[in-house]
Amino acid sequence: MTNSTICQHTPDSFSLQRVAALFAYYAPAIRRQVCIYLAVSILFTILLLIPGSDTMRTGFFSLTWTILQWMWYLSPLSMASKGRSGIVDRLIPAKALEKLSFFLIYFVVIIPLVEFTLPVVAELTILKSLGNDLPHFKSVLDFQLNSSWIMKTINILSAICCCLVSLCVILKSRHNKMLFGILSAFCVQIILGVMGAILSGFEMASKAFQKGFEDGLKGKIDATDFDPIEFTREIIQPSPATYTVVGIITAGIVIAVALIYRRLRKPSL
Amino acid sequence: MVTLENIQFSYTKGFPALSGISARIEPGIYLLAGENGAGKTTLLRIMAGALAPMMGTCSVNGSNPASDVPSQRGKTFLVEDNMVLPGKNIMEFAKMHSRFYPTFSPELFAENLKAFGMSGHEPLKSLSYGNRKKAQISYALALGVDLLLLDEPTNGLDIQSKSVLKSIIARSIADNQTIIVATHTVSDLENIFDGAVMLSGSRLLFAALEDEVAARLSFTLSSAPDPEALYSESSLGRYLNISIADGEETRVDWRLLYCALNSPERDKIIGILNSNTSFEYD
Repeated sequence: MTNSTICQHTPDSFSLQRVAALFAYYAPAIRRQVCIYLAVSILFTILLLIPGSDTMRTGFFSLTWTILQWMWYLSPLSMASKGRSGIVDRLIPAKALEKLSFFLIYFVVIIPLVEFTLPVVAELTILKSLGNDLPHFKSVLDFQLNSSWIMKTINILSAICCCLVSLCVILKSRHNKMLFGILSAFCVQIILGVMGAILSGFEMASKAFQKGFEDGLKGKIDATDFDPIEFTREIIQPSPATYTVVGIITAGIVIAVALIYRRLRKPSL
Repeated sequence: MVTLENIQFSYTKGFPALSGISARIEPGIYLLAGENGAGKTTLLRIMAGALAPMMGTCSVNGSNPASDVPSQRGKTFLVEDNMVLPGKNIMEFAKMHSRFYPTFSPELFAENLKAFGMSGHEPLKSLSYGNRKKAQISYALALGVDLLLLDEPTNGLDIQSKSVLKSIIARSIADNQTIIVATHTVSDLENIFDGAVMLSGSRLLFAALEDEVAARLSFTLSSAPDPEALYSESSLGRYLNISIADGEETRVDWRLLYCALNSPERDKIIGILNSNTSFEYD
């Protein structure tokens, strides 16, 4: 065995070499997780591409995105497996900032890239060019692809927030790391959902009332042309409510990152 | 050198796990003994930097083992009882973990494994508790850290492996290194300790070098109880005695001393031991 130490010539300030060494240290867990996530991603991309009825394809589409998103939320569970020793991980002579960088690069950049690249490419190429005989599927796909930037931002930020809170809880817990990691992800989703519902609810209500009032004035009382997806897309536009949601989720991410950093810096088991 | 200054720690408020621990430990191999719950593992974790003391300071060659500075943190390593290492086998673990330790010696690691009759490619998951321990200790001893802490290293080892462990500990230690071994079975590693740190009820009973103990106390074997002995116990029809040294130094029986320190004669023996030792403690 050859000994290739990185610390001999590496100063005590932040070192990318040590971040790379952390990737090497966690390689077995990373390798296993990336393989599983890639396999699931390929499987669901194939499911998306299988020809079928409008209802079936719409169902697969929703299922794919729900499962892939939850896999991202719960990805930090790889750090809670039975094969990991808390004390050995904690005693690694690397700076807390280097460990934090490793976690952020892995869970916020690499995992989503591994998971979402194939389905997104499939969406943007093959699925987008499907014929008009799949109205529901086209409508759902169109909603996802053409949603406003604020909606996309909220989706991405809430996923990052959920993933980081789960990681924070796993690093903090002494026992039942898996259970607490899963519970924390569920709790964050519920909290974000309730918060989004309350804040957006007022916005939606006011817009719906305004629209109804305008339609009423125009004498347009027939609601048969009402499209809920189109209506939602119109509602979720940059507004004080959506900006507030973005602000709260961003604050949640900052707090989670600060807590993870504190946990990595402060010695305690 | 390890310096402990008035270390206090508790897991639950009002129930101290360690209280007022002060000692200066020079390079060498030390026994850390104490009854269950005395605070041995907590003290090891504090010295390893895995726990921060609530009060007091701990330093290893002038560095704080709990600091965020990699070169300081890399001076210590702790092998806990029942520790699980990631990786397929100990070789794979060593390959990914040793790069953080510039003093790691692959040659010594291979020698240690060979002494235990292992190749290092045995799957960690299928190894028995004892064999897993052998692999972990082989690796830890090859790290070459300033302070190596071993918690119950002989647990699960067979009789032959215990004597191999003794020889590889003695062989692996460098002049500037300190190895602290926490164990309940002192006899497994007898004759390798340069000194001992003994805890009781979360407090330090004493910390001393073997020479200092031998200069103050005499450990003898007799066929009848020694009336002059500070402490005496019978074993297989003979008597093991601790008495005040009369000038002729005897080999320290750490197990006997530990038993004596848990007997009613404790205060008398501690009083003798605490007279001008090179250690500093309460």
